[in-house]
Amino acid sequence: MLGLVGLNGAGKTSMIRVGAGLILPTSGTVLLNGYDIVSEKVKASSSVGWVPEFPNFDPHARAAELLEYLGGYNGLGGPSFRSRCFYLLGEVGLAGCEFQKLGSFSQGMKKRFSLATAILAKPQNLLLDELLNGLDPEGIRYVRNLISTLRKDGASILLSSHILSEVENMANRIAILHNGSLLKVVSRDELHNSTAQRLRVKLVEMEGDAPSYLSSIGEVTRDGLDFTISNPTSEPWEVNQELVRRGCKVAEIRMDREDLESLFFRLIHEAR
Amino acid sequence: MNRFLYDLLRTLQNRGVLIMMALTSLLCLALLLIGLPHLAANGATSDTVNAFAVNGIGAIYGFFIPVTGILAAYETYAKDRASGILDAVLCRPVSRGELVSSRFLAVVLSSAVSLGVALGLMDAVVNIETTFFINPGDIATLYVGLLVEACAFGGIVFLLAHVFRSAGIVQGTSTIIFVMFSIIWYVIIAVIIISTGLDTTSAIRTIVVGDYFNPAQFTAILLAYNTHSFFFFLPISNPAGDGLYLAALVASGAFWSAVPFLITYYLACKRD
Repeated sequence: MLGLVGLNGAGKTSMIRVGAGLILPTSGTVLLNGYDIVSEKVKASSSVGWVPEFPNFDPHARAAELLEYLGGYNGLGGPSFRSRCFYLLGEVGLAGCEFQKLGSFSQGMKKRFSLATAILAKPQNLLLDELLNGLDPEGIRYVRNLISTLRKDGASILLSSHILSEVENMANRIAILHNGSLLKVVSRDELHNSTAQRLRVKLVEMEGDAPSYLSSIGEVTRDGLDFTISNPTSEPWEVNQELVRRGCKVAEIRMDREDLESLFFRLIHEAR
Repeated sequence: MNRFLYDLLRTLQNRGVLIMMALTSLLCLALLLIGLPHLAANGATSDTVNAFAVNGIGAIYGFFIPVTGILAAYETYAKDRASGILDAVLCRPVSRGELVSSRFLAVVLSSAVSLGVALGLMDAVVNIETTFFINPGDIATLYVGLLVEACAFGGIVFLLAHVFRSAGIVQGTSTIIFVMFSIIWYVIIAVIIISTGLDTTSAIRTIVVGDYFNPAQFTAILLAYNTHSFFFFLPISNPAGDGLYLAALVASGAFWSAVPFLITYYLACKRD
């Protein structure tokens, strides 16, 4: 499972839409199970399920009927498939809504329905665009369990999200995008075993040239009287001693590991 | 089942075509039921009845068939394409070419079938009222001309769906194109004729030449070539002298029925 993170406009949705065969790449190729999504679209799309950020369906269509109709493109049909459609709608939390028109669905319900369309033909690859957006806590828990099951079944998943902690918890690897470029792909293990450290310093009162001192021991990000120093060259107690000597009042000083959020912002900051 | 056939069969039923064709047929029926008894009572010959029926049917269907083509194309493809609803289908194992072709064929087939039924019905009404049948050649001419108009306007709406990303703009532009070709066109031609002071022969030639470039008038020039009269009252003694050439008619018909769709096909396969 690959997590895709980036700021707005980074290219996450475009990348997923290219993979789903909805837009054409301006350059390069996208292979799905070895098939080119442009020149061999039918074979490539056979192995893909897609959940858009904002699901958009015919508002007059009824849930079970639309599911059956879409399954027809995968060559699925018949009474057993109809049963599967009903089963899937129940699975995603839409039991009782089988004959309801999609126009009456809330955004969260549309997202759940979209998930049902994506897993309808049991694809080996899933492209999930901001899947957790619009889902209630029960939906989020269901998605977590579903992703876990799909991964056990050998499915490959590309999940884009703004919720970095969710991506960090769920994905094996995380790709960081910025302005259409891939900044870094980092594995969860790499992230967890990262030796990169950061020193967080919170001052109550600042005197003199504390910022320039902090800059001399590492790369500083500042938010008011809160400073974050990446990979500091001094120990926390040394920093504390020096700041006090310079007349600063220190409220908090601690060293912690670089997590996805700090890695993300560091890379974005460097890219800018 | 083949995906192309599956999509074709699922989109063949078209409420827009049915409603529009039913309304047009009612209007035409009214004309025939008012005019034919009057002609029959005055001992009209089969030629007079034929000319009245062919020109009446040609004028009414010729005016409304572009709207039928527009509605059919909008309901079948343009609305879903422009609003993004089609993405749910496009991400399935179906190629862009298959999807746009099957939808266009659905528009052509639904127009062809409903037009055949409507013209058959009108012919039956003429026979009931006067005991004459419309000349089969004229019925065939009407059928081909009207079908070309439906295909042309359907193709133009398909094309608009690839140019604009809003269903509302597609609707609005389609309406403008219809009004321009069906109503404003003759105002422009009339202005040209009056301002240049053309004689009757040159005026007819100007109208004919202009109509080659107007899909909404294709039936009119096809009928003029076949019946040697323009709009029932302007006799054409020398079709070639008035600009009516079979080769030019075939070229114009082929152009309008195929080119808008072929451009759409290219855009659907090669662009987004």
